[in-house]
Amino acid sequence: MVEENIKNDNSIGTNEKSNDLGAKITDDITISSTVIDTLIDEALWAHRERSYFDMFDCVLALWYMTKDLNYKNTERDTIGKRINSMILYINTTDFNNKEVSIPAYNIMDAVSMHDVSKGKDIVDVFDSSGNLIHMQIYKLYEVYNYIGRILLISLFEILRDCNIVLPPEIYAARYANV
Amino acid sequence: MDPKANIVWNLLYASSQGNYLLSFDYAVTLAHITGNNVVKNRLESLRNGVEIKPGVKVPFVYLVHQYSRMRDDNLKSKVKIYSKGRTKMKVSVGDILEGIRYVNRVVLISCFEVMEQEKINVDIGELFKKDPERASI
Repeated sequence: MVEENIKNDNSIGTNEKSNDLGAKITDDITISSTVIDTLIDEALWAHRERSYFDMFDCVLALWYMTKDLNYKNTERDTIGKRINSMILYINTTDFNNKEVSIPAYNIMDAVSMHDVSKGKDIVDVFDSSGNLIHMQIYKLYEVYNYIGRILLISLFEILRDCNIVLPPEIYAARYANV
Repeated sequence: MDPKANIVWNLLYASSQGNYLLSFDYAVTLAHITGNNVVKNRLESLRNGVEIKPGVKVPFVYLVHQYSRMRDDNLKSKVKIYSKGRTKMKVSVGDILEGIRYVNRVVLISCFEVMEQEKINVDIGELFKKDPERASI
């Protein structure tokens, strides 16, 4: 069973604010917005396209880029550890309901390799020890979706905690092409 | 637009486009960001299993996956499905679709609940402007 347990404590991060990051920040600072806006835009687009490989990179980059900002509700380390731990393992169960741990990249790889048209119910995935295990396809997709959800939650935690505000046009522009 | 309004905006848009996996993700995110445990638990329970027939609970992601597979197979009228506890049984496309739409309803109700509690304002008109067909309604 995939555990959805987002740790959200009230630790306060640093009070330093950097003005060299590309974001519009509420309170009293408005600064140019190239890098962070792009990262958020790309991350949301990747989530919409269910391309979690790309989303992983964008959210991690965003987390790194906001290192000097004030994290209000969630400790910055908590977000970083959560994302990084998924790279190492995600706990779930295999076809026989045995508990296994699988690195996020193996899950993403298995999803990208899976051919829906063949209609297979069981897929092979490498676990964190390198053993080949069998998973039901729906379980694989469940874990895959879990990765996307955790990344999305982490992304919005960063936005909320760092008071990063984006104009709605950043989404509208994307959606207009759909 | 503040992050909460952003989430709502994306949730409603995804739901209106029939992208229920996406709207579900945004609903979970909204619950986490606002710290609304009631909504969080409600969605978590749906993720674990939606009751599509009395006593038959199927995880939400599996439902969506099966539905897209049925469409790929030229809309088979019935499909074998694993319920919680891994019992294999045949259910109709209607049962599956009803389960998915049920989740969508819960997602929307939860969204508006949170919007009211958190006083989140989203310009719905602006949302539909992006969709010319809806804008003309």
